Parts: sequence; structure tokens; C-alpha cells
Amino acid sequence: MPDHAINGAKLRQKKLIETAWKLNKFRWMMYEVKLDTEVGKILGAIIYLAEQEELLLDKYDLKKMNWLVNQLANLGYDLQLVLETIEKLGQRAPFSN
Amino acid sequence: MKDLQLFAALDNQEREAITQIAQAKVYHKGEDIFMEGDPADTIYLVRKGKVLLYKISDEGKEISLEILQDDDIFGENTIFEDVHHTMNAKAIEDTFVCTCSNKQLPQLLANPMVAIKIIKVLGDKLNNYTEQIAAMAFQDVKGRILSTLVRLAKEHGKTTSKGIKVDIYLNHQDLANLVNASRVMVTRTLATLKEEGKIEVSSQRFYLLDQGLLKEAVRNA
Repeated sequence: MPDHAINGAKLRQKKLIETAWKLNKFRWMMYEVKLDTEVGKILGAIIYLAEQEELLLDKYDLKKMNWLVNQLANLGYDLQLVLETIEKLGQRAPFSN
Repeated sequence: MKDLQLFAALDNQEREAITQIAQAKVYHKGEDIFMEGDPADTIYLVRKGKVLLYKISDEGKEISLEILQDDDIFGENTIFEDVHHTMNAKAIEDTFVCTCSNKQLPQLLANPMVAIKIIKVLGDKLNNYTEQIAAMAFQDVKGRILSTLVRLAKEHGKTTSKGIKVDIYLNHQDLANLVNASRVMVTRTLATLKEEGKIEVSSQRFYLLDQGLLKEAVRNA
């Protein structure tokens, strides 16, 4: 197989793996929101805040994350649970834990 | 299986090659396809039917995650090595699927058209999930039903003289699973929406009639 074809196949596989990880993450979020857990409520608030501020949930920026944590704490969510939820959100496969 | 939308861009020779890789399988209504904890070693392409992805909570509550229909893909964790399913899948109608084992997956993905199509199908799901999670978190049952019907209209809508027809079969229980509400509540809310002239149900299909909803479904299509 020529080099460009091998590179193309590798890129497609990488993209597919990234997409599957993201899907796993979104299903975990959906599960928590539907189950109406505290984590689900925090995730709902994160989605709302992320939409308002155009944050990308899968891109980490320390300043934005600090801002997000402060906002959630100001909304009355438990700080420890907020930190745990954000940490889990950063994991590739929260559902498998 | 050659008729799957996923393989539409392939020529006859490529389609024949696919039939050597993928196996056809039938699951009857109510039959489990895989359970949480089973090894994830097969990817599934829905040829015809309906599959429910769900998870059982620690308290034993069944949480529906997605209802899959024709041309959908599931079991995508198969692309990772040595993993187990993190949810359950069961046929909620008699369902015909194409299966591809993890050993043969590289052969399936070797065709760029197939790989790109799979990435697109899975990528579209991500957008749907964001919308659904936001709706679930911030809307009441009526709002969730309307946003779900608009989303389905974008995916399966057909313009008719009446309005946009959501051209898939969904009963009240399916809709209740999608919007995380009881079937009774969904039935009651649908009756209200019909009275308000926002939707109509005819021959087991939903129609969006409301001008605002129609614009939303078309604008985002």
C-alpha cells in the first residue's frame, strides 16, 4: 500500500477512535442527566454555561475551567462534586469507570 | 446488506467484497443483542428494525440512551482493543443487522468511503446528544417532545401539503423513552399539542404543523 494510503487509513482510524470516545462520553452524560443525579444536574449546568460562553467541552483551558468551576460553585453545586464531574468529563471513557 | 446506505457510494465489486466481511443476522423483538460487560467484539449496522440502547442503574431503573433505526451503527467500542460493552442493546422490533467482527473491522475500514461514512454517522450522533442533553436538562416534557420531533424531522422529515412528516414509526412508549417521561405523560402532552394545532398524527406518523417548528426543522436541516 502506498505511503499516502497508509497515512490516510491511519488518520481515518484516529478520527473514528476520537469520535467513539466522544460518543461514550456523551452517553455517560445522557445517562446521568436522565437518571437525574447531582452529577447529571451539574452536567446540565455545564452544557448551559458552555453554550452561553461558547466553551468546547473537550478542549481544556485552565482559565476557562476555573471560571466554570466558580460559576458552578456560585450556582450552589457542591465544589468537590463539581471538580469530580469536570475531571470525569475530561476522561476519555467515563462510562467504563 | 448491500443495500445499506453506508455502502451506497461503493461500486458492485466493492459491495461484493463487503458481503464477504459482514454477516447478516436477525434478532427478534425483545431479544438481547449484547449486555453490559459482554466483550465488545462486533460492530452492528442496522439494516431494518429498531434497537434500544439502555443502561440499568444501581437501583435497577432502566435508562434509555438511544433508539437506533435503519442505517444506524452501534457497538462502535469494538474499534478499541480488549474492551467490554458499557450498556445493553436489545431489539424492540424484529431487526435485521449486518455484523462485522473486530478481526475483520480493519478490512471494512480499509475502504475510505465506508470509513468516512461510519465517522459521519457517529459524528452526527454527537450533535444530537448535545441537543438532547440540553433539552433534557432545561425543558419540560412538552418542550422535550417538540425538540425531539424537530430533531427527528431534520433526520427523517418529508415535506407534505400538511406540514413536515416525521417518516419513522414511533409509538408513545418509544417517544417516552427518548424524552425521559412516562408514557401516560407523553400521551397526555401529545393530545395537548394536537389541540393546540402544533402537531398531527396520521397513519402512525407525526406531522409538524406549527410554522415556528417548521422553520426550525428546515433552518437546521
